[in-house]
Parts: sequence; structure tokens; C-alpha cells
Amino acid sequence: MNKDLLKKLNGEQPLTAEESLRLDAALESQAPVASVVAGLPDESPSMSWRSGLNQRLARVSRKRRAAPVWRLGIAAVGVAAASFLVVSLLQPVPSEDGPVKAAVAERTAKPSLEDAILAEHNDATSQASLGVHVSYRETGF
Amino acid sequence: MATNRKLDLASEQALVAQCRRQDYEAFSKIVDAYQARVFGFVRRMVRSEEEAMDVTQEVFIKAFRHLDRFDGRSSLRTWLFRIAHNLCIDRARKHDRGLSLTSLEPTHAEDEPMEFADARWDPERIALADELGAVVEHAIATMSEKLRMVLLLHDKEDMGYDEIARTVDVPVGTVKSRLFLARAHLQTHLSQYLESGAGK
Repeated sequence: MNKDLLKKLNGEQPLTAEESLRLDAALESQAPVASVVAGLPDESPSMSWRSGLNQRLARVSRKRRAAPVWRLGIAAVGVAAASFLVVSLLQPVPSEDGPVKAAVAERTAKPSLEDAILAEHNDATSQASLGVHVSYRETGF
Repeated sequence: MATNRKLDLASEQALVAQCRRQDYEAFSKIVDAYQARVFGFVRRMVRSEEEAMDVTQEVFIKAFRHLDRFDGRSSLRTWLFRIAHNLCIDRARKHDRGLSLTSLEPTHAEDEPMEFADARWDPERIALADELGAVVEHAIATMSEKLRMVLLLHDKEDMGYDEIARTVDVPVGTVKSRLFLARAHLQTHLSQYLESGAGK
């Protein structure tokens, strides 16, 4: 392995096709070193480690199971709030004067033309039933 | 003691599907299968055994929490080691351990081939030598995290270049460069040990 290629490897610079081939060959020649690493003993974590992990996993699992109920509650509150808002907005706005004043105002309001004709008709009908002539205003003559 | 069984692809996929249905027992089987390998990797990546135990627990807790993000494009092993890699990098940053590459100065004359196939490095003989094992562990511990990571994933965990590239998130060429430098670093340490007359 020459210095230039080694410099490139240290700097993680891109290699030419030829240099890549040389690197592949060098890696193959390092096989004995690889087998040394492969032969290193495996270590297993202890039983107490596993017990601790199980406890932590159980806690995470409980939280995950509880999460949907919690989210459902939040959603229900949200829907209720939205419904209340809609109902509030759609309700008619009550008169500021109150119902009594509104009724009095309705009675004392100027009658419309339809109301006047109807009142005149009722008046004339009542008079006719008592033998009084029909009002000229109703018959027009 | 938990077993260290390897999972085939079908049983791995079945276990993942069960885990997504909140099956806690299924996840325990995944832990059984991978705890020793993940722990072995993390143990050589962090400073102490205590820290390794802590990080390994974090790996499995994180995997359990985010299993829905595992899309099955890579193997479960690659995914677990990617989590382990990220956590080890975070720890190294926390401890202000730089992730700079170990610079390897050429010790051989230009164009002189490096001799790796030394007869003294018979793997069986080396495996039996506890002292040499300690030298190897020390050599691994003294190389940069970047080199160590690739060395362990390739030579210890038997991952391919592509799998390592996905795990570590670097190009395949960079994986090869790092692997070469890591092995060369290890070779230098072993040469010094063997030349000092030990192991004879």
C-alpha cells in the first residue's frame, strides 16, 4: 500500500477504479486479522440486567396501553366543546327588552294593511249579524 | 439465562407483527435473540460495562417504542445495530470523545506489500491466548469509534459492506477504507505484541 493511497484512505477521499481494486486486495490479505476479531468471546448481559429491562419494557407497555384511553378522553372533550359552540351560535339572540316589553310593543305596533282589512271585515260581519248595515268602507259604496 | 438464538427471516417477521399488536412476549423473544450480540457490540463501543448495560437497555427500549417505524426493508438485526450505533455516537459526543479517524502513517516502504498472513497469527492459537485476547481488546478500544464500529460490524457481526453502509450511513467505499485502517491498526498492535516475544 503506497503513501498516496493510504493518505486517501485516511482522508476518506474517493478512490479510482484501480485504487479500489488495490483496496479490495488489501482487505482480502487482512483475513487473518478479521478472524482474530471474529474469535473474540461473546459476552452476555446478566440476569439482573434482563430483569431491569423487563421492568422498563413493562412500564413502556403499560403507558402504551393507557395512551388510547387518554386520547379518547381528549377527543370526547373536544367533540363536546365543539358541539356546545355550534349550539350556542345557532340559538336566536333574545331581545334586550325582555318578553313582556316585546309583547306590549307587538300590541301597540301600527297594524299592517292586511290586519286593517281583516279587522274591518270582522267588524262588518259582527254588525251584519246584529242587523246593522255593512260598512261602506268594506263594500266600497 | 436468556438464549442467543438467531432468528430466520420468517420468524423475525412474525415476531415483529406480533409486537405491533402489543405482544410483549414476542418482543422478549427478540431480546433473547439479540441481547448478547448487541451487548457485545456496545460493550466494545463504550467506556465501561455499566455504561454498556445501560446503552443496551436503551437500544431495546427504543426498539420497543418505535417498532412501528421498522419498515422491514432492512433486517431486524441491521435496525437494532443502527439504533445501537446512534446511541453509542451520542454517548461518545456526551463524553467529548472526538470521532476523528485514527490517522495511520505508513510504516512500510512505499509499494512494499504489508504482510498479513503471518504464520504466528493462527486464529486457533490466538483464540486460546487470553493475554493476546486482552491485547486485541485493547487495540480495538484505542482506535477511533468510526474505525471500531466498522471493524466490529464486519468482522465480529459478519455484516456485509452494504449492510454496514446502511447502518452507519456512509458510502460503501468509506466502509472499506475504515475497515482497512481498523485492521491495520489492530495489526500494528499485534505485531508489537508478537515481536516483544510474548506468546512464544
